[in-house]
Amino acid sequence: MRVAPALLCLTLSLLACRPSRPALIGDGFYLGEAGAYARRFHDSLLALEFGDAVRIVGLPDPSTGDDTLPGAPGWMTGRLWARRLLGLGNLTVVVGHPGSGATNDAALVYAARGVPLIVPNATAEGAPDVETWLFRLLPDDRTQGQLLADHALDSLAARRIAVVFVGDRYGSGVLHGVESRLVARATPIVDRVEMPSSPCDDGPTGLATRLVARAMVERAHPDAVILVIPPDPARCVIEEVQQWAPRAWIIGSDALDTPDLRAWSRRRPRADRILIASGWRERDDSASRAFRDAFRTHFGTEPEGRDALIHDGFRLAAIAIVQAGPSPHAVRDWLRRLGGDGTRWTGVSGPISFSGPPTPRLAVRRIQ
Amino acid sequence: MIDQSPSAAQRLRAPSIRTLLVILAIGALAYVAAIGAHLAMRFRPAIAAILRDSDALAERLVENRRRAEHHDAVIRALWTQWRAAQRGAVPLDTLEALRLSLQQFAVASHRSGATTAPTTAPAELVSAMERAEAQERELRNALLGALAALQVRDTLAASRLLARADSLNLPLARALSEGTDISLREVQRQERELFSTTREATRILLLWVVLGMATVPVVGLLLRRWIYRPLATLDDGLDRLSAGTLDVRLPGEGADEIARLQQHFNVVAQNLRERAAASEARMALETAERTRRIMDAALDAVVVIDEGGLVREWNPQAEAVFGWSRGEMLGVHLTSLLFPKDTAEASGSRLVEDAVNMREPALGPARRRRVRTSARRRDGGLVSIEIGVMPLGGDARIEYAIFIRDLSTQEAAETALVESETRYRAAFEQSTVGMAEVDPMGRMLRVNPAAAGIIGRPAEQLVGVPFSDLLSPDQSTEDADAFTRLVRGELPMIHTLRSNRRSDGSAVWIDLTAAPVRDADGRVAYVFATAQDVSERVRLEGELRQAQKMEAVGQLAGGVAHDFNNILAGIMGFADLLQHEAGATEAVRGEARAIVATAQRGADLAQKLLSLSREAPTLLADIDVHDVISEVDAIIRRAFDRTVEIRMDLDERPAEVRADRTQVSNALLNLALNARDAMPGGGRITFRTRRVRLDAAFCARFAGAPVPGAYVAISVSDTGAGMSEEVRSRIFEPFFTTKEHGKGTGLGLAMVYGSVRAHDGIIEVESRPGAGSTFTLYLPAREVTAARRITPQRSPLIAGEGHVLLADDETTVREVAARMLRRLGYTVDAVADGEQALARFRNAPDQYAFVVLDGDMPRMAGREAARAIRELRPHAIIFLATGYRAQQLGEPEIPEGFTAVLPKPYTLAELSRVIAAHLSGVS
Repeated sequence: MRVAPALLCLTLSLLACRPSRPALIGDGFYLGEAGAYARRFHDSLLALEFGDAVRIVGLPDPSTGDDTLPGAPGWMTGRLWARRLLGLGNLTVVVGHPGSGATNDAALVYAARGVPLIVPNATAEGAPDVETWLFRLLPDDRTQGQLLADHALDSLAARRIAVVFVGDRYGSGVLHGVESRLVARATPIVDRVEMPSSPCDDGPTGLATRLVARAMVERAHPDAVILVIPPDPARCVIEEVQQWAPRAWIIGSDALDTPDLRAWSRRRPRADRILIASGWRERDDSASRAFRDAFRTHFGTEPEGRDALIHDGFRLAAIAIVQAGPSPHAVRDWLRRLGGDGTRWTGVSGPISFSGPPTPRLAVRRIQ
Repeated sequence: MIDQSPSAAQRLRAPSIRTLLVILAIGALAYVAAIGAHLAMRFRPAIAAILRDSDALAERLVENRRRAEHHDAVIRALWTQWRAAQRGAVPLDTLEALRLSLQQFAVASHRSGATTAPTTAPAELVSAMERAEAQERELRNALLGALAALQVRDTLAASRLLARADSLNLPLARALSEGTDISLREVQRQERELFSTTREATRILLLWVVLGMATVPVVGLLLRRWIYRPLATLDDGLDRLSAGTLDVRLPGEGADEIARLQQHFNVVAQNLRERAAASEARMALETAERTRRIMDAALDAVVVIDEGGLVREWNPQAEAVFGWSRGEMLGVHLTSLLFPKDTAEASGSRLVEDAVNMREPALGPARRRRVRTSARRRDGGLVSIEIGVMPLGGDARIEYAIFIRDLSTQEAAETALVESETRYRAAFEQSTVGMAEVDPMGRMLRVNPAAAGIIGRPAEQLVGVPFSDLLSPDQSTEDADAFTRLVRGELPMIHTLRSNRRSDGSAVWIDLTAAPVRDADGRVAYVFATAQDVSERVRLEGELRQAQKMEAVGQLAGGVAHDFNNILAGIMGFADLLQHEAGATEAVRGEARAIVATAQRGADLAQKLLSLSREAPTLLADIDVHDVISEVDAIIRRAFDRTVEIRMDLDERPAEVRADRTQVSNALLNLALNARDAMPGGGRITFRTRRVRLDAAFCARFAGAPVPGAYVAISVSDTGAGMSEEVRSRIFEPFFTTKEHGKGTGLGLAMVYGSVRAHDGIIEVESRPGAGSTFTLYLPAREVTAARRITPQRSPLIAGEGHVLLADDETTVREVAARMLRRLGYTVDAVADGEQALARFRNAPDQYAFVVLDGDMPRMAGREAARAIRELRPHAIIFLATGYRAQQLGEPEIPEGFTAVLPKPYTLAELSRVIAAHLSGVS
């Protein structure tokens, strides 16, 4: 009879001495070898800041033998990705995914399982019933479209505005925002051109892209062209527009906010008439400098706005866990209250809040 | 109450039906849940996935086909546009529409997810879809570029890009076809998998069902034994209890819920039995007490007897009726006491015995109804009663309730009612006042003989006749309205005076009074009307009104005549003095005579005015009316047209009256003139005389209270137009005439009326429209007596001597009278009023031979002065000089205190004759 209390004390002692497990943050952004490399970068930064409290987990490298992942992440939809990610363990929060379509698909799975999702840069609107579990760091596509339209009208005094957009959810959403704002301000859009994502080469593909842009200029005579397309075809379009309508303003969506395109644009003869929307503005504070230094050290390149947003997404997830605990519901509630008391959390991409006044996280800036 | 409910210990030990049911229900649910869970866990995800993937693949097949067809169509259309561009005609609108269509298709494909593979698609299909998407992207790039080249008119670039599109379309079609093949194979595989899964699920389900079916009989037996049978027993007990059977007891064996319910049922039934017994006992007591109170409070005597006729109950009213107390009567044989045999009251005994003996209620004469008879009281007197016998049902014995009503008071009231009715009937029938009962609808219910006489029809013919039919048409509407208001209660009664015509056409005035008679509910049962024939009263009232009018006219005329006579007295006096003036020439005397003659005509006019009143005739004489009629006849035969026939119907005996011949003559002449005027086309005038004796009844019909006695009736009849009642009632009014303006003064008949009344006579008129008129004058036929009236005679002047006291307030009259008296040789002391005259006379009472006093003087009238003078000198000769006539003054012919009357105006000769006559003592 004396053995039982002794065993009980021993069990309780072991449980009390057992090291606590870190809360898991799902990585819904990176796949493959490159993805694992990037994930390690963010995980190391979080480890420096929060110790063993959190850890980032993601899908394994497809080259490691998982035959369900053929190695081409483009086909992997968000739902499949989310289900497999959740299979890795009890995730407290997930940060992801690349692209609005995958993000909205995945959000359905996370909401059904009660796991909050922090979205760094996907902006397309999803299903309404998942919104309470979804926290976007950037405004949605429609809001970005309205921002671009307002900037063209107010800052550039444009009155003949054309839109070249890619026919996916992202392009359609931004186009819808531009159109709705122009209609509200009694300035009808002069042309809208859907353009497939194609490389800007010297062959027939590039020729076709250029002809589409030239035809648009001859047809609409725009004084401002809003580009909601990937960077590759954007080059051809910018060249054609500047050739056939030299005075026209070119306003790119955040999809063009890439270092390569920025560098290419700066070399253009009329780079002063090219503007690009960006969700990240380099800040000169210690956190931003530390991020840039670490990024350069790890990747050997300058960070892009997307990188800053992803970094802020992981940091925000870690802080929420530390503040609210490892429970997904507690983290969700903490994130929903963020900014409600007037205090906003500030990351390397700027202030973030999900309650109270929206954070102006997107801005249109000239290349030069 | 005994607590027979199961104890707590029993409830604890009892196997609970509820527990059993819960176990069974849980088992059944677990069984069903196990089946469902097994099937769901085993097959649901697989089936759902298969179905979802199959749907997605089917959609994919359709989408692939649609996309391929779309691309083919766009390429063909662009080639067509390119050829058109080659010909120089570039349809930009068509190109723009094509571009927008291509753009819309692309956006829609992205939005629907058509370009991506289903989530669970196999890798082979996913890879094929990605290849197809890449090729489609290149194809769309080429198509958009070719379209743009055509828009910018670069046909070379357009052909180059269209050729590229052609080259890309085939691999894309192959890729889509490859995807389609893969999808089809996948669908077929999933269908096989679904079929296999369904078959396995069916086998499992059948196994579970068989196992479940095997347990059903066992469960049923258990439920029947534990639940159904005990509940049926309980239900049967409740049915019997609710049907009123309280003697129910259930087994109540065991300790489960149903057994406890049965035990509770037994306890409840026992309680109900005890309560029912107590309630019955209490109700019996209450019923007995209530019966006792009802009997005590009953207005009738109530007696209860048993089948042997012995009294069982005897209420206070029975004590009051018969005099025996309850204690005395209980147990006594009822009929032998109240209805002794061998007496007249034995019939009551038979009534009761028959009612008791007859079992059927309808057979006994006094059962369930009332029979009148009489019974013996304690004091031996008889009491009239109404008796009814009612059997009282009972389980063991039959009793009878005898209800006895004392009819003494009722019979007395009925007798009084009959007597009252008889008296009323007699009064109604024998009354001299007309009486009638009229129903609320206005129909005559009953009419007494007096009313029938007034109406002029037999009473039996009037029953049922509307009263409005008996009224004059011009009054029936008004009377019907008043009757309606009376019935409605808007008028308390009707009292009215109505003229009507009897059935024989004669007129009758009816004083009608009607009042409603109401029944016990306050509704009008009938209207009681009384009617009196007041024709005579109405006529007398008319006569009285006429007399009053004539009296007023007479007074007026008399006043005028007095003043007129005073004036004439001066004129005539001076003219007469002038005529007798010795020194006057013949011419002056002739003019004086003319003045006197003219003044005399004025005096005649004054006389006519006086005749409007009851002024006594100044020239009364015994005359034969026949002579007067002859004179009138002579006049009118000369004056009237020959179309007017004049007939005489005179009494053979002389028609002697004492009257003023002139007035009688004028009256008859006026009547004859009126008769002629009533016959403008000619006709007949009849004079008729009769000696008649008028009785008091006849005389009472006329105003002025004429004296019954012998009269001479003088009738003047014509066959003219006659008069209406309205005209007839006014013909004697002064100045009333129906003649044209200027043809009549309206004084003729008024003078006739005045003359007749002045002779204390009666005038009667009978006339009807179209039937002519008859005026009848009744003049008293009395003996001629000696009168102290002076009959003027023409004679020479009689001179005298001595002092004369003359009093007259009219200066002219006083002066002319003084001159006349002096002319006759008298010494005259003339004064202006009675006081002065009395003062003069008091100073020298024996000095004056006679005194002449005016009748109407200021300060002291002639009458008072004469009375005072006669006190000083009782045999003094006093003349009254007056323009009035004695009757006009309401005085005797020669007023008291005077010796004679000198009617103004008088001539010197007349003055001398009157003075001489009284001074010499000759009448």
